[in-house]
Amino acid sequence: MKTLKSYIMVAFAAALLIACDDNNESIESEGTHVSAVLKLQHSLGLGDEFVLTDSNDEDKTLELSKFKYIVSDIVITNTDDEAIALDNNDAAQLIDLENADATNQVFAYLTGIPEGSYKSISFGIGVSQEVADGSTEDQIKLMELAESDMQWTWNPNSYIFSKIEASDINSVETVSNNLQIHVGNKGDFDGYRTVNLTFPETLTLSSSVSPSVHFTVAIEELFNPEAPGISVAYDAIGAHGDSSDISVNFADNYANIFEIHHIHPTEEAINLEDVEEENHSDDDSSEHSH
Amino acid sequence: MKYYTFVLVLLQVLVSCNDVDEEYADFEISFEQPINFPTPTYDFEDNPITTDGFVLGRKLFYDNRLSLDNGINCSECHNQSHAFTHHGHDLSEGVHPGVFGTRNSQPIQNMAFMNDFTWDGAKDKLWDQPLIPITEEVEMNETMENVVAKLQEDSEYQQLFSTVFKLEDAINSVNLLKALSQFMGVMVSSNSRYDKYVRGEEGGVFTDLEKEGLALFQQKCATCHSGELFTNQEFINNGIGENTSLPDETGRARISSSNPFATVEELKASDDYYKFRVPSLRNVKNTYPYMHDGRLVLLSKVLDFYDDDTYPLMTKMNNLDSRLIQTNEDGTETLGISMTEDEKVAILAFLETLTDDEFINDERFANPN
Repeated sequence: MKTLKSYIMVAFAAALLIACDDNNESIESEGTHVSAVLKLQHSLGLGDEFVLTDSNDEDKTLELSKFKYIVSDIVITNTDDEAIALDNNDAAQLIDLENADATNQVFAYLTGIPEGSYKSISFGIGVSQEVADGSTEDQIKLMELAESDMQWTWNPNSYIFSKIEASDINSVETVSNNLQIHVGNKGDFDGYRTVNLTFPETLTLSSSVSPSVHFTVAIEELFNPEAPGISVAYDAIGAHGDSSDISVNFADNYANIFEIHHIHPTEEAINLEDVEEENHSDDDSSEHSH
Repeated sequence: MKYYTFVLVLLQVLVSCNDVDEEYADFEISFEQPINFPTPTYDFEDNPITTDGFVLGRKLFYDNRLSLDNGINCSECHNQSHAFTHHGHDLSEGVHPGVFGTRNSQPIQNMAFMNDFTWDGAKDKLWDQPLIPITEEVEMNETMENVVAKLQEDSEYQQLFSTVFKLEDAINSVNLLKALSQFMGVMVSSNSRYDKYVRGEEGGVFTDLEKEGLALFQQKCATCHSGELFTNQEFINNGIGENTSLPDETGRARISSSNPFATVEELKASDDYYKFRVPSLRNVKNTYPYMHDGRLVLLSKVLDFYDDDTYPLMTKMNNLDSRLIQTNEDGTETLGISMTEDEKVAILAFLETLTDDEFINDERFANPN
């Protein structure tokens, strides 16, 4: 009897295993059309030297070692003033200079935007408290992005919104005064900010093109913004003790470092799977060249 | 013998998909609201509790793959027999031999009713709380990415996750955490003799001493250990002095500071320095030792601590909770809560009625393997 039961179980298990196999087949082979490409060109790359003012009003030469930020809640508005909110499980990005090309560009590929004419875009730097407190299902991609060293596991809002780090290259002679600012929603300070930008010309999205939007990201303007932004000494927050006014000013500056320089409205249509594959092979080749 | 073992292993592998139905079909899980409890904080809309989700969460809870080198699982420090605390340990060793955490393992019970989690309220949502023990170096020291990769290699997990979350490739960090949350959400301790007493149920009989203890408790302790959860869920400085062997401990100050790089010296100036959550007292007899660092082994010593005539004494920091300071007529201050030795005996007798043997022995919460 026991043997018979085992046989039946084996047969059943085998049937189940075969059934499991079936599931993997039904994915469409067409690929996912890229609606638009965001090309974020940063003013600095990792390893670049730049000059910032410290809290003693002295200029210090720093070498950039880290700059990364989460982009979420992308909203694109068409010429009829309809706002299309892109799903964070598709559109959220971790922009990291570690992954930049030789001209400090990082690409973000947006998919699934309805065809049409668009006039503006907005996005958040970090993750809003509303999203962090909201649907867990809507945070699947954000959590995965955060696992690339953008997570305070021990904080109620576990997302780190942005990190900038640079070392004071003259620290051999003086006490080192490195730059290290990590922004999130911590204590009574919420560093989430929204960037709002208008396209210089109408952006037309259709299945026959994958237009690109070329952004400039002026990293130094986090500290020395154009008016009405308020300048921030690079060592005034973070590791050197916090003052919420300065933190607020610094976070505010994030909203103003982005500009849309131009768009390429008619670039050839591409598929997400193809660019992802290409990026992976790029990784491989760069590894070989080292 | 060897041959039989091989066949058994083979069978085990083959029927692994099927295991779940075979073993667990004998119960259905649903969240049960005790009539004497407050409204749950658990988000049932976002993460509904199902039998399959509970079973998956339980499997994860007892799975060593959540830790570095598959060393330990959650039950290492959360034993059911001790209301899911670490059977008598003050602090707990994680995956690295000789490396200890800095806080006493807290019970996992009635999580579905809590506003905040961990001693300092590092988390305000149950679902992402396990990020802490899984990733902390002094605990399981694993990355979520690695855990997900390990589970993805296991066809049984692939199937379980797909069943619970109703899609292919459902194994990801969020779903893993949600399954754990479903398991923990069901872990409700509400059938102690005290509960039966207040609900007028069978077995809910108190002795005169226990009745006296309850009255004294309500008078002297229930300001903070209030309500049916036996905690007002506040963070307070209760007079426990600094632990010199844990110089980096700052209590809730670390969480409430807006500066992620704040130093211990900076955090000492915070009003939240050395504040900890008022713990629930349910199953308190089984959750020894006591305080955030487990420094008091006996429950009677905890009462001696609050009754400040007796060693161990309270420490008055600037932010000692004002409810623990009485100003006398001559202007002097008395710290703590005065209790006679007889009153302590009665209170201790009452506290033992909070032990919930049904919870501690509930086979649904036990390691199924």
